[in-house]
Amino acid sequence: MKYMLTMRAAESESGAGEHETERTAVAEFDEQLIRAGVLLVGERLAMEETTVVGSGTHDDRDHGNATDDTIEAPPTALWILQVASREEAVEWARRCPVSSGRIRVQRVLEKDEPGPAGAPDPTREALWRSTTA
Amino acid sequence: MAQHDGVTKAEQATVAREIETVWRLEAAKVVATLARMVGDLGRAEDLAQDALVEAMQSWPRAGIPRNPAAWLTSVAKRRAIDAWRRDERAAEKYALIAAAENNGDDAPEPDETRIDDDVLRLVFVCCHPVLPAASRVALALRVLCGLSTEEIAHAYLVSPATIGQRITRAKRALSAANVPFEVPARDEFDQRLASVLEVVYLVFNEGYAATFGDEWMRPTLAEEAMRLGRVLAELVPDHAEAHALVALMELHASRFGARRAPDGAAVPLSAQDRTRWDRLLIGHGLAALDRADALGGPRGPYALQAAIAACHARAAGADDTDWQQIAGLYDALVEQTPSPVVELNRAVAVGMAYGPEAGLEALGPLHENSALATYALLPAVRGDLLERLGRNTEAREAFLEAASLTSNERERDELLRRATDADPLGRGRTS
Repeated sequence: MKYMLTMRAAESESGAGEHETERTAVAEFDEQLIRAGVLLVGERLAMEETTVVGSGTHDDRDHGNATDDTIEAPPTALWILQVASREEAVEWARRCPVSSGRIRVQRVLEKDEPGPAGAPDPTREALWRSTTA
Repeated sequence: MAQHDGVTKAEQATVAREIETVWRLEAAKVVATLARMVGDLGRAEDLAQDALVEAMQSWPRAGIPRNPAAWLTSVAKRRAIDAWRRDERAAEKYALIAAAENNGDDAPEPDETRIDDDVLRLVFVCCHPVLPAASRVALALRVLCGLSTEEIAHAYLVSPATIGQRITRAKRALSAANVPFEVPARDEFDQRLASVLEVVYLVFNEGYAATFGDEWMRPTLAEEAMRLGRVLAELVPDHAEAHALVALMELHASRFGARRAPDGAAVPLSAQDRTRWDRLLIGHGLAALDRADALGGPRGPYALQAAIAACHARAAGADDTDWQQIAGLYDALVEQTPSPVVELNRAVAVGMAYGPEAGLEALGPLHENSALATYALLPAVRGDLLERLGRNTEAREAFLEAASLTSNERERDELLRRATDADPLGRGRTS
């Protein structure tokens, strides 16, 4: 089973100058995940220049540096873990060094599972990748 | 409502599941540290289980400690010391443990490197060749993956008592053989590592090749194996075959979502919907294979198999597969691990790379092999090659022979269909 952990900062202050200690703590967390053999993806995300596109926004056009109240604070980091159970994913989320903010734990659908209506079809993306790789 | 010290039953069940989860993450570290201390895997495991029982009583009320592994280890250590105090003859051991304590063994933050070293020792002991493969597998799942006896039994479709006995006997055998708690010396390291990798791959295949049994537990075995393989690769980063095994498992697992039709029938590689392959695992698998190759030296059996899997993974479609490269890799694999099944696969690759005539030629000697006499795949492959040559009557006979050899109903239907397709009228029989 694969789970995605997304970390969202509580306030946007962390965007300006990320503390060195927090960065070290996240690196240590990554190291733990690697040593435990569960890490598939681990990325930190830029806070600036977040662009939101889609019909949920005012005019279906880009919102440069979106600060729209209706848009959730963007995640600052994400991980995809391969674990045996939801509890295990949650346990890893608990161990994530988040000083302020929260972590969302979501299961990644398997390739042979039908996705929820409206979700992008992962097989399409995979097809594109397999023909362009 | 059932209340116990202010904790409801539901809350207790939740905490119990959390503790189980923590245990799965920490079991290897706890048992490894204890095993170094007491010098006996069986005793270490018993102590760890006792500590787990204590956690089950204490944590629901006190909460899960910040460092659960350290908590469990120190509880178990205390129990070990208590037991030794009761045993007069254990003065020597007591002196040993006291020395260990003085070495800062009880420091609040355990030394990660030291724990890694202990876990590696534990891996080698659990997978020691004095144990039969089935025992090594059970012990590894229990001690290294933290699975319960019930979970292991469930996965292998045997009774918990059987698994329990297997583990008890394995622990006893290790004690009896005086297997030291250490990483093997250089002269036997490669051979012992092979024994470890074999266990990991057996667990993976049990999960991967499952055609029956619990649909939920079996894929979990494959994931446990991948996890264990990755942990191992980090513990012995200079050993190419450890990385190669990770690559092999990841590349095979990337096809999990495509290998079954909606009705449950197995879908052969050539017919799989490649959009259902897990690109993330493919990327990881290819990277792990690169890591193995970067270490230099000739490719071992896992690296060769991973390289074959990588050829399939890289091909956008079945027609884009580099069969000549695959045939070459099988040549090398046959040399390293000669087996009729590998040779059969080689013949298939040769047939794809150089045409059906060459495939039949490669297949020829296998018909003399008694190990394959009742193996349905051999006549099935021959039928396929003959059909491609237009020798339809012979192809039909081959498919019929294959159909008579398989015990799998779906496979038999498919083979009978191919027999009819090859030669609808069965002319070979009537004329």
